[in-house]
Amino acid sequence: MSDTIYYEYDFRLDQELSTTADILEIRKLLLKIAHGFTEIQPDFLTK
Amino acid sequence: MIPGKGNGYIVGLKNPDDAADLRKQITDFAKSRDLPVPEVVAAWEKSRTRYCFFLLPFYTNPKNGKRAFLFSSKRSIEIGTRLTTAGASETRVYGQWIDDNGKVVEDFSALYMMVDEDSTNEDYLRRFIQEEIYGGGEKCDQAVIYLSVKGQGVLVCHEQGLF
Repeated sequence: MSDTIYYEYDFRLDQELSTTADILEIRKLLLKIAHGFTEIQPDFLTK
Repeated sequence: MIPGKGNGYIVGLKNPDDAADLRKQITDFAKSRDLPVPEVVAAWEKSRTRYCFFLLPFYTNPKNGKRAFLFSSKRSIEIGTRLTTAGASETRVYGQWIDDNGKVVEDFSALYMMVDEDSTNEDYLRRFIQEEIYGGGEKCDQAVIYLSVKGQGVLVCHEQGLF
């Protein structure tokens, strides 16, 4: 465990066009690559 | 999060080389749906402010298919009040991760973030996790707590100390 470092990558789906189906698909897609993800209010960490 | 309102994502990769695959998958998905292709950037490159944050799950890890609240309401409020009084911002977030058996686990968590220009608040949050989350009187079943520093997640662990 101690040699594990997680690298964070940040992106956002388009505000107007993303649908519930898109979000569910993105979640599946992310877990094919990543150990985990967190959905967050856009720009919370980049103010 | 709310469909149609825009979602941001923080994605945890164990290897930065996986970022290229992440970008390709997101790009292909967006093109297949005629969505604008989102820019996938390393969090520490995008941020205009140095920050650190940690995620405190609301629930215990699944045990025999069941989950309980990680802390009592009173303790959760105490933790939140102490952190926000110290200057942390708080937001509630949703996430998923894969457990050791390959099963997807959902988590609702509190995210506590502090601006951290000189590592003072990073040190504060590390101590807080050790002393208050793991040592605060109510049992915390989390093997590690995810602490983000400069866009890289470090894991604070009760038994193995800080790293």
